[in-house]
Amino acid sequence: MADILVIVKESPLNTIRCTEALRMGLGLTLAENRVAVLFWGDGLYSLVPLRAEKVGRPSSEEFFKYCDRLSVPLLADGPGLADRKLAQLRPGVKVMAREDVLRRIAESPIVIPY
Amino acid sequence: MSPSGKTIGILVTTTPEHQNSYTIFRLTEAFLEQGNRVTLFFMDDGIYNVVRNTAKERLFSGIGKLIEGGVTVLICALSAESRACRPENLLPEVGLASQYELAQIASKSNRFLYFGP
Repeated sequence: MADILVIVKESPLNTIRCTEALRMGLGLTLAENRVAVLFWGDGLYSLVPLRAEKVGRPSSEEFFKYCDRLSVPLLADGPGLADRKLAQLRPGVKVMAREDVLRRIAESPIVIPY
Repeated sequence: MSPSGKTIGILVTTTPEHQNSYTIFRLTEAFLEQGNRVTLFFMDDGIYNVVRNTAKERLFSGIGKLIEGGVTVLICALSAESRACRPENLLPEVGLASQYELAQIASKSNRFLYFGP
């Protein structure tokens, strides 16, 4: 078992990396790894209600549902949210102080900044 | 693998045009020389590193040589399918895998490295 932190840092509508990061994060739980997903930078836009399919992008909704069911924590960089004036987030997101985010990254044995 | 050898897992998501390919090649060579066991897992556009390419001026990948040296190479089957990359287009000995295999690699490796953009 490994502790894994997946970081979503790309905006959700420009690439498929957000959905791929979530797909991978969920997949990594299949070996009973402890997985958390941290949203950072423009990746934070993934946490607001989106209908990506409206602009021809893959939706992350199903992946978010499974994150909840599989108890994969969704973490958000608080200062990054404030910078982008993002307030209305999907349920279940833990907003963290920058210091705690950096500590979490530093202490995670495996970090995948997707 | 020597008795002191470790298992190293490497996840790659960048194409062969990226410097990562050369870095991974040399790093993996060094890991092997030290008696470690290495598994490479390619996902998303990273799978282009293991596409069979006979062009004279092909981009550097070096993965074929690593396979000959005993490295296990897997690619995400869904990434391959979504890019219309069929098994016959891949280097010999490259295996199609799921995220389950990646989870196992991450879980069982002594060190797990990620190379992305």
